[in-house]
Amino acid sequence: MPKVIIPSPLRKHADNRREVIVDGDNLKGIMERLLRQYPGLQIINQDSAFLSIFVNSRLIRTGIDKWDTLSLNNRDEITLLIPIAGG
Amino acid sequence: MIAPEQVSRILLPRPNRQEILQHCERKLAGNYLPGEARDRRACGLVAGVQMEHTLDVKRIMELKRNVRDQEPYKTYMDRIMNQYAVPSKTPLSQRGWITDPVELKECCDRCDKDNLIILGTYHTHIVPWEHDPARDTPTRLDTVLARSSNLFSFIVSMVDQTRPIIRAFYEGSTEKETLIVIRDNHRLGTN
Repeated sequence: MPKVIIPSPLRKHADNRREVIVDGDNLKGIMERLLRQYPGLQIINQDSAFLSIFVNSRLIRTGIDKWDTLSLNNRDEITLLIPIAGG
Repeated sequence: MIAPEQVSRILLPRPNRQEILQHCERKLAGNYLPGEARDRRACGLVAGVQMEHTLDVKRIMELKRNVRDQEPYKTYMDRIMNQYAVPSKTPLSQRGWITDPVELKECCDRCDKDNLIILGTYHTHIVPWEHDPARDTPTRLDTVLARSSNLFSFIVSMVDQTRPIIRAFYEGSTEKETLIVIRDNHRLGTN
């Protein structure tokens, strides 16, 4: 099953886990299951402009409405990142 | 693990403090590295480990790229800047920064490999304001942008480059300042 890597600033919302195995074969389904399992991670949806998702090393630039078309296989690694900003 | 907001002190080894200051001085002097954003501000990441109520800084990572002027970030930042930025001589278009996600991922991967966590970010303040001459605290904009980040904002005041100041605030909140203790070999001193 695909693996989701949780960056350290978000781990407090995922029982301090670095990675979570989530069942699913497309990005939309995996994200939905992840957020059901760890509702605290809903914080990543606060501003979708700030959420970056990588599949393996590739930055996904596809809009959230097309995530169900992004097929994943068991060896894929998904990384969630919220770019950091300052004034 | 103790929640980061309950951390009572941050141990900053003197060489790491020097790294931050040298990065800031280099950017302010206009000495840019290849591929680096050509702006007179320095931003970076602070990584290390947490031991109960203490954060121990182990690594400073300079950030080279700033995607503030790229979509979809630009629209977001323009809106936030218009809403929260204090008027300044510097045009809004030249203010604010956002890490490039690819560069950020590279930093996170390096930290994971070495069992370090991202503790916070740092950035410079250089222009004195009438109501805030030292500029050693987060602005309202810094606070808004750091909200819910679970990171410390290290503010590097370079208003007087001969007397730089570094202060740390959990999620950029002026009400949540955390003591920085400079670690000099085995001796400890305050910032």
